[in-house]
Amino acid sequence: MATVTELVKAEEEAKPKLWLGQPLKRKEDPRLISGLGKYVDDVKLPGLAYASILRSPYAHARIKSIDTSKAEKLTGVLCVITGRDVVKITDPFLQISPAPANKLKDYCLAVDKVTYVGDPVAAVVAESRGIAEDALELIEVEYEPVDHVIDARRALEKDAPVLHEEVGSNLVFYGKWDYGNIEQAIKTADKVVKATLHFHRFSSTPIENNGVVVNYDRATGFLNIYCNNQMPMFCIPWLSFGLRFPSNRIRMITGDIGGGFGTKIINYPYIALVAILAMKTGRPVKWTEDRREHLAAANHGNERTFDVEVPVKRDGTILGFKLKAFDDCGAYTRYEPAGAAIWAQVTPGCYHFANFVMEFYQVMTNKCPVGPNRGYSRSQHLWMLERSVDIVARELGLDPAEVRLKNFVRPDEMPYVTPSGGIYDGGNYGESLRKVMKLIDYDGIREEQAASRRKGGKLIGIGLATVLDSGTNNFGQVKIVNPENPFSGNSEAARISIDGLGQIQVALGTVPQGQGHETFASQVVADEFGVSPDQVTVLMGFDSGTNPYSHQSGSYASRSAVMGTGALLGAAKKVKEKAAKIAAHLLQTSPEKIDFREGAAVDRETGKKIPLWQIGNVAWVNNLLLPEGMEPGLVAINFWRPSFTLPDEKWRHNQTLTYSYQSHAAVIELDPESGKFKILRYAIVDDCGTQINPLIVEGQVHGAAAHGIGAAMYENFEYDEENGQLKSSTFIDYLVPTALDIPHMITSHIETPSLFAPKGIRGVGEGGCTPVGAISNAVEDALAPLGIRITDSHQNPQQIHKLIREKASK
Amino acid sequence: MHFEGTFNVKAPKEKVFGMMLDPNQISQCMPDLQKLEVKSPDDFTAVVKAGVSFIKGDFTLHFTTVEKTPPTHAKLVAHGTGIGSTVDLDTLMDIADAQGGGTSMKWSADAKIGGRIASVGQRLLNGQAEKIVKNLFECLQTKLEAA
Amino acid sequence: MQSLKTDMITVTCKINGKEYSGMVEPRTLLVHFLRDDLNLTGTHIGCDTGHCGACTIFMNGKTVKSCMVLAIQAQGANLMTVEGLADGDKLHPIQEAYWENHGLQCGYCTPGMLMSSLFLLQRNPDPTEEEIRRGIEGNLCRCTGYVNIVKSIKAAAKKMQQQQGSAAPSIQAKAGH
Repeated sequence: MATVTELVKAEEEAKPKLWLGQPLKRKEDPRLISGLGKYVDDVKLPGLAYASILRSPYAHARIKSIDTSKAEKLTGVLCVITGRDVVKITDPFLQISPAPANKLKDYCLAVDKVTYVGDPVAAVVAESRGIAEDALELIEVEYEPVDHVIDARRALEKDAPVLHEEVGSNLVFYGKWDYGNIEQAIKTADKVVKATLHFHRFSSTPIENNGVVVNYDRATGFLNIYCNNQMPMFCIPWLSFGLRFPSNRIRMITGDIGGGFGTKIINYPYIALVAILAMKTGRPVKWTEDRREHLAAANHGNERTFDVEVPVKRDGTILGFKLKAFDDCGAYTRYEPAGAAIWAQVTPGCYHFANFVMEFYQVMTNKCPVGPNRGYSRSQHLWMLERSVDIVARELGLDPAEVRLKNFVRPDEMPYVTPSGGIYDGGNYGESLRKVMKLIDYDGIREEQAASRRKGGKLIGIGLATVLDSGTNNFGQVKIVNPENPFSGNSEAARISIDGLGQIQVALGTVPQGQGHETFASQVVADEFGVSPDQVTVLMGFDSGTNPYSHQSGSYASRSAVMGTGALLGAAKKVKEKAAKIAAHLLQTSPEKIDFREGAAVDRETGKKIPLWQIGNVAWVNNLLLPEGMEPGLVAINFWRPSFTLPDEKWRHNQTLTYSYQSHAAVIELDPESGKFKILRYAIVDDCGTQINPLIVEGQVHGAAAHGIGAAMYENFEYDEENGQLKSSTFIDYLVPTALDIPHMITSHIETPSLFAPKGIRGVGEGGCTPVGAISNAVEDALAPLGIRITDSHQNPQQIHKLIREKASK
Repeated sequence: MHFEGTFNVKAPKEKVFGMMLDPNQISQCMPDLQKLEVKSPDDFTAVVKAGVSFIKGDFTLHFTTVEKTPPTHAKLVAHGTGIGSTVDLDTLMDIADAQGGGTSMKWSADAKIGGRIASVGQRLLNGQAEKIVKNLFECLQTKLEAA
Repeated sequence: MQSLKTDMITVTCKINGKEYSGMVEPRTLLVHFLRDDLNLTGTHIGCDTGHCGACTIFMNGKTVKSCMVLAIQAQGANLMTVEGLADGDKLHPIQEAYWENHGLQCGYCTPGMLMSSLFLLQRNPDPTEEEIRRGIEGNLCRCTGYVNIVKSIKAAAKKMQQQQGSAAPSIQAKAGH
């Protein structure tokens, strides 16, 4: 007779093994490791011509005249256009802002003035890229430089230079969020901790720059656009209205994308420009951005300054936050001012306070336009919270870990409703912090630190940060900045088909840039139909001619796993229902008795099966065998959307479906003589709920951490005060961290399933820039004996050295 | 970028003033002069070869005298373009009697560089610009002392 | 009227064991010659200052950044690009290791990274973590944070030591030794 152990084991083995949760090798990899990836610059079309762009060398200037005659005469040049040409045949791009900021006239080329170094002024198409660039040198532009402004606060002053006269001022958006009673909290506080904090300008700089190839097919009247935009269908309103071109004849195609991280969302002005060039020359036109162009004029992350007041109790209880924020969004608003409201997704961070006031100013300056960058708008806010919590701890003489643990939202409070109406979908912040502290041996390092301080050696610092990565957003948030925006909710589309030979094909609206969509989609669908992921073919890339989509489709805001899975499950359900009906008809049983496993539809009771190929055959080829009245075919498109609501009159609503979180701990060793420091130990604990593919999740966690470390220690877009020039516009000065700069990272996980998302999955791609908090906290901790306050998100040796010298001279 | 300097020469103010605003003299003191086109003493264009590090090429500089109070004060403004870059240079010259005889010449220059050179040659810009500006005035000083 | 095009020059070289020939301008970069003229688009371009390493290939046995080499400098040279790593359908141990250890995400830095990894392991078959990181210092990656790349190279080292003598010669030949 079988033992209990044997019976349990047999039952375990009989359970269908799920592909969900398996660390499968990725399907994308074979082509990528063989050099067969299809990136936009690999696109070659017969008769291809090449574009180059002339850019402004001034931060702010009027364009008095442009003489393109010499350039046009250069052999091999097909056309040269300027803003004057563009203005005649296009309309200004749509604006998300409310009035009067929405009066801003944004064209793909500067018209009357240039407003940042790198602003496109003219474009050339020629037979080769070389000739196109030679022609740029022959274009004569007469500029009249005017005063520039590169500081957000200064840009709001009455006498500051105004970038866009049609707007009247540099203010894009002002909003006040007011929850609870902050003034009361301040009255009853034992102390009000104050600080002015600055989150610096940087960007994720993917190794592949922007690129676009446009082929205007005069035969079909179609504009075929090959690009590497992360949300190409989102761009359609911008392109269609801007170019005055009907949306039902625009085809967007993306292949492999060499990283996006949010920075490839606002590249639509370049797409529009190349479309104009293609239509004008009658040739397919390719534009490949070079690195200098990318760093100066593609996409910077939001730069934000905060005036912070935190009322606290002596025991470390945080009563609330009173904030004023100045967000520097650069010279044009392309996705902004969405960022002016997106931080509110995580209003209190992981903390428990109910009193909150934020006065948010978003301001234009003569710098590169800002766009979403990994951790978009939340990184800034969450860094401010993490920095402030440490400052609170320091001023109260408490351990920063203790203050966090005291103020964290507790697991028993989940789902937790925040002051701004956000609904946290589960998690154990305290456990993640305790776990990460254990990973770096917090107590042991504190002892080492004390010993080192006694000896007077190198300065050891420990920094902690617990940060949310809110994912799958509700575009209702753009209604906060402008209630008239006809944009809300979020949806994704998927199509699953079982063809006439029983082969499964999947197409998604998500637009991958390395997140392994083909792989995770195969895993999800394989589980649904009882096949192996190898038997599921997922279309590579995105093509609006063949993929289903909504105008919110794409990969951004840490949404693909959740949204993609939701759409896939819905499509699978529809296909399975129909397939079950067909199978049941053939087996003369009822559809409720049908399961799908081992590549067939199986009658649960009799064990009789119909293989998928037979079901497909009946549906597509042999349809007289179909049940009475059933439509042929076996394919379904599904649109999935989470249940979101619109914001109420106080802007309260749940802005994202999922809230992943990570706790990071950094141990650094700082040399006070030089200001240099190195990371001795780095640990991460993340919780993204159910993991579809742990390999992919871990990869995202590593990558996000590397971006954060890069931003904290190496990457900074510095503008020259005197003439508004971007000082870090090549990799000589904009330091992307190398393998020697990123330390080995110890990672661990917690898995508390999301209470709201399909299969308990949470989006994990962005990471929230947690290292920026951990490292600035570690630096202040190292310098604590000197009483130095860190107020900037970027730490470099010169700055640190200066702070030490200044303190010493006092 | 701002540079300034003072030098004394044993020459009368008028002579100093004349030389400082003479297009031929000025252009001879510029790096690697390729071409000179003089419309008038107050309006001339020079093509020079200049640059920073590996980014060198021809610059077309257009000079105009915007303030002139002989023999004591002048302001010369230059605007140049070349190799995807722009140069804007404002120079002030104040000439007075020197203590102990001769003439004292005080000059200051404000230079704004934009475009390719500014973005790629950032670190070297200050040093290189200072070198060119200082060389220019030292050269003029030498000419005055030789005359 | 004005033409800035100069005389074209023929460049003949061996790439991945095969002979290639093309006509280029003197100023044409090797990476553009590979990608645009010879259709070997596996080698990528990520910057304009020689920092990112996405263009790394083998030239006469050593890795070079092909964006820092003129096409005419490759006249008569023996080159290997990422397309030459596999032996027909059989992946090189380095490629297998990257695949098994999730050493790539978007794949854009990967061809150059594979080349540098191979060059490192050819000179140092059993590197420490520090040596690995130093060996790929010239290749930037924005997706992986390098953790799994280091893991992949360690795994590749093991594989290559086990397979010593079998896959190595053809790669050596292709790489120009």
